Amino acid sequence: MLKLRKDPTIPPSAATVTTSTTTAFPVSPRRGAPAGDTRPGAARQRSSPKTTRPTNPASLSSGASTASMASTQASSNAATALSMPQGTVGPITTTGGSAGGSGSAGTGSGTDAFSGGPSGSGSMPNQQPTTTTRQGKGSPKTTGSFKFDTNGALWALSASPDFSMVAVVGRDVLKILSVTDSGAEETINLKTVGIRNNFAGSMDVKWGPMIGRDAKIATIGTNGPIVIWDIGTHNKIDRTIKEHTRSVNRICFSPQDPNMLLSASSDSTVRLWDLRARDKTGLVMETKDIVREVQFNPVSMHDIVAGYESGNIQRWDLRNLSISEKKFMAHMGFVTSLDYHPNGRFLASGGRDRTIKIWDMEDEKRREIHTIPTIQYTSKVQWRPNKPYHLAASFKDESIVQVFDVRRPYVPLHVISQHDKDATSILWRDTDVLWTVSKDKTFTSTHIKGQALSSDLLPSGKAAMNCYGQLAFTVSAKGGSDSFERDLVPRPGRPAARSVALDGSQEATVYRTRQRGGVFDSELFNHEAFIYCAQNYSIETGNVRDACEHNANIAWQANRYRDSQTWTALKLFYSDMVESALVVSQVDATTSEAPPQTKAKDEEPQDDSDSDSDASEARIARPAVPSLFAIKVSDAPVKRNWSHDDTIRNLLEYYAEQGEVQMCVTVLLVLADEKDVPEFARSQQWFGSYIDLLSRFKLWSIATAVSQACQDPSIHTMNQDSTTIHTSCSSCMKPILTRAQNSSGFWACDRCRKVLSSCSVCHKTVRGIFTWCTHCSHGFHLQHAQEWFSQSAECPTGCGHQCFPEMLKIQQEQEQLALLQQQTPDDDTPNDSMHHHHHHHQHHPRPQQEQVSHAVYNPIAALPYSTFS
Amino acid sequence: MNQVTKFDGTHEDLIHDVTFNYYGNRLATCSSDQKIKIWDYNETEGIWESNISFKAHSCAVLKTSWAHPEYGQVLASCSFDRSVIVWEESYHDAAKKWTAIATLRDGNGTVQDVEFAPNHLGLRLAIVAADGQVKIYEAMDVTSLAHWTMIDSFPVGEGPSKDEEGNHCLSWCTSKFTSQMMVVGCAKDHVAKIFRQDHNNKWQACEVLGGHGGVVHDVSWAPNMGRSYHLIATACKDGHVRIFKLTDDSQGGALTGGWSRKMFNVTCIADFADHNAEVWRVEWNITGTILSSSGDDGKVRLWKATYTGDWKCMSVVSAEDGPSAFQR
Repeated sequence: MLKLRKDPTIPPSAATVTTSTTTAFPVSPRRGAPAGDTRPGAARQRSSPKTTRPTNPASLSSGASTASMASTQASSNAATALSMPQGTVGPITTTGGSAGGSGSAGTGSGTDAFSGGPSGSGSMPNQQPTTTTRQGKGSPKTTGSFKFDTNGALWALSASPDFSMVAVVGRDVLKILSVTDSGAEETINLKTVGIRNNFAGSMDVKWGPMIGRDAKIATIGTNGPIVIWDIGTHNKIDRTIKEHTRSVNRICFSPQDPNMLLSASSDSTVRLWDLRARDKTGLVMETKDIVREVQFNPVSMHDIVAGYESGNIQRWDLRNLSISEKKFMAHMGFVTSLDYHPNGRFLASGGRDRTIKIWDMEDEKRREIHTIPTIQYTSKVQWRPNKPYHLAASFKDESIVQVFDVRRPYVPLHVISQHDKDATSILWRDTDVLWTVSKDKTFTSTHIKGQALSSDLLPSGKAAMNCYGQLAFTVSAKGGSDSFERDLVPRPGRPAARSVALDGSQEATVYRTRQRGGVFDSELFNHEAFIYCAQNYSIETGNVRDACEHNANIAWQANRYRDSQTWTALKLFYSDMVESALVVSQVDATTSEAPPQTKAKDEEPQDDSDSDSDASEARIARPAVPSLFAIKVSDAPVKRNWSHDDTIRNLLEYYAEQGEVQMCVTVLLVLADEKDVPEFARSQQWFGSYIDLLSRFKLWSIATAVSQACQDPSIHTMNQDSTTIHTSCSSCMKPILTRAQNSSGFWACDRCRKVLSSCSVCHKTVRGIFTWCTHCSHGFHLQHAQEWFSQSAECPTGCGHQCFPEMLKIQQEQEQLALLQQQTPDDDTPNDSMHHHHHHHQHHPRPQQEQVSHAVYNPIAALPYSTFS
Repeated sequence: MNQVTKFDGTHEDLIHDVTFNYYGNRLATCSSDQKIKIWDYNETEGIWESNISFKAHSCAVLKTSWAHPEYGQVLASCSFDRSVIVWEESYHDAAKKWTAIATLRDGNGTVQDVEFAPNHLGLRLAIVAADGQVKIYEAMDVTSLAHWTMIDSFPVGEGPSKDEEGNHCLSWCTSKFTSQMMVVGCAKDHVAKIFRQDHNNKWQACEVLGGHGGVVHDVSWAPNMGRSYHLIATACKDGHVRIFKLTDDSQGGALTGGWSRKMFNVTCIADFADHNAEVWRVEWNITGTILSSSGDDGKVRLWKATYTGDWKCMSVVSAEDGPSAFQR
């Protein structure tokens, strides 16, 4: 198929021949035309592929002739044919017009197309379609994209060899459209014929390689058989093949021999039909496996490949079916789609395991060269003409179609989302135009150049910072459209057999992202200082002066000098003694006035005589600042008579703007008891944020202390709010939630409907202190337990557990003691018996004993009763 | 300490998101290669180690978000495959393993952003898909995260959107004492909008952050930390990083509860074109004082306000080829 598409690379001379021959035809070229008579003979001759077609005057066969010639060429030559420049599409269209004309010669519109197509000279009256086509070619890339509604969900498509016509089929659609660059139009509707033969639609369709009057299409009717349609002359059923005993899954024409048709069926056979031998059953290839997919090798005509339900792929040689090659496991789950690379060497397979794999069929080891994990399993995969690494795929239940470069398996080149519902099948018209059909009833043609590269839509970088000031990032500079080629690197360290380049070049390549990234310490957040301050700041409210002084020191040690100054200032504001302020100013004065040299001299003797207080006194007195000293003498408390309201407000607002909630919160806490501290509407947020920060550093006890110290009720009770205790049903372990609708509350389990925490003695719910045996976990009212176990050592449920083995012992001991007391009264025994008695009452027999029964505080019982009633 | 850990070559295709957990000691990277990789900080060595990598989706994994650790080690990821998956770390025979415990798949189109709500709202998850619908899910039973209920859904713009019309993104406001808010980048409209719950707990589109010359690729709502205003940063296809300042407009209601459609005056206080290429992501640090932005120029830029309140680029991070790792 693929090659044929390229084949009609008719040289200009051929086109001229076409034109001349066409003019030789009558306007309505019916069966009476002489060319029609010669055709069957030509077809027969062509049964041998080596036979060069006779230079038949039949214009329309020129394309097919090129096809058969190309088929005998080596793969390298085929590749040359494939890389035919885009410019040669022009002649294709010319032939296309003629093929369309001949194919639908019976209809009026077909005749129009026919006459218009080849006659570039414009001698015919009805040449509108072709003219439009030509214009479309002239303005590249803007055309080729259109949508055509067929009024029925579509499942498959197949184009005529020259791509002027396309057959589209679905459950109740059997249509042939004529297609130009700018649009499509319905030419033939085969549905009425189909209905007469008990089928309204088709599962799959393939257009035979013949064009002109011998054009045939094959469909798999919805009622089972393969139907061969003769659409060259009549739109009638040429043949119905019913030999398959179960449904046919895929059909495939030989690209070289237009009479050879392969069919893959669920009856575990692949059959080869010679359409000329009408009465004969074709070659049968028996397998033990449902055959999902079959395809001819486009280069070697005897080579076919089949894909099976089991996930196996198998190659057959049609010349000798007895030496079919060994199957190889290609996929987990059935093979959904196969497509031979145009060079005939590589095979793309899609599988139920949601992968597309590329195989080198010349490598005996059968290892995939590339694997593409896909969004869903492929319904159809097809190599892109002229792009040896590209393929397109449609997917089960997906409206999108993706085009991949197999070297970059994870990011498709293009994602085409033209459909509203599942795209069911695809077909490349040429390198840049992709045809798709969909369950949304449309046949769509998409020009790939108009589609965005999906890698351009992907974020190339990201940076994130954590609370330790570390920066994690990835960056990637996008280098324009050639970036993909640039990022291809030699395939590293793989076995030689896998390092195969699909384009025939020496070195296999893979895509390697140029993105770089990592984590490093950006020092954007000094978490050490934060943690040190959090751990050491005083949040005591009692003594503002001491707390501020302490915090000033802490901030200083954490190298937070500005914060330290703030604390010092706060200390001054809220100290009861003016003295301290003066001392500070005095010290400042001393240090500023005294020259450094003098100071150094003064300190030297200090080191010598530490204990000499008089000497140090004298030295302090030496700087001449008498006015200050005079005030220092008076130690009387001086009341503050000014308010710091505005200062504090500005201070905290400033810190809040900087995100320094640690300062905001600590200052608020230290000053909590002071009267002239302003109210802050956002103090809640400060506390909340600070507690959150503390939790990030896992400083939970500090977070709790801050929360406890806060007078705001919503912060103060934060711990209670964020702690939830769930109780679970003892038999089915489902959590007991009263939030759920129709909940029975805490007294019965919603799932197993059992009463929760029931007393094993009275079978009523225990609504108080619940006691249970830690071994057999049966519970009781405390009182019932006491009563029961004073009588028996065994569990009252009858589970057989000796909940109170001590009970037995105690009873026995007591009896023995009683006996002993009767016999020989002893001073110690009353104490012993008292001891035992005590245990008995407390339900704490012997702590070191493993099987202990405890009276345990029940969290349920501690909740307000209104909750359960 | 201060060693550099490189991501290079750890994923087979582009890494799209890098997210720290709440404590900043774990890191998740996700990539087009359909995998998520979890990195743990080794405090003694001072390096990040990746111990676990797992296939998460059947398409590129676009973004990840960590849940608050009180719910366990829980991660959500969104992907081109139209699903959001909630992952939980579990231990099997002393080996850590990430298990998909819930798959949320009822959207049409790529899920373009996912973010867990701030912890005080419970275990909630907001997602936005290419169809332009924001959906909020809640785990009804935090003891088993398998069941998520969609508690809210609203469209970001008028009419349905399609995949090719660009990117949607969202970011929660983490402030605890306001009504629930988030900022959403609305693909085709080239704006970001603030959505807020009204008195009937219905999400309403409120203030609009305009002035963008293209699709808004990313939005990030700065942690408020008790400031008198909010900051929101946007990354735009037009190559600009913008910072919007939201100041209180209603009489004392904005930051203390209460509802009105217009609570904030929105001003764009910074607009930088330094990247000179598409800007993909913006993210604030935990105190909302430093903004990071990353773009197609292959650079990460860090922005900080000066003491006068002007935002300036404080450093540019790039990764050079060769041994010299990072330049600042």
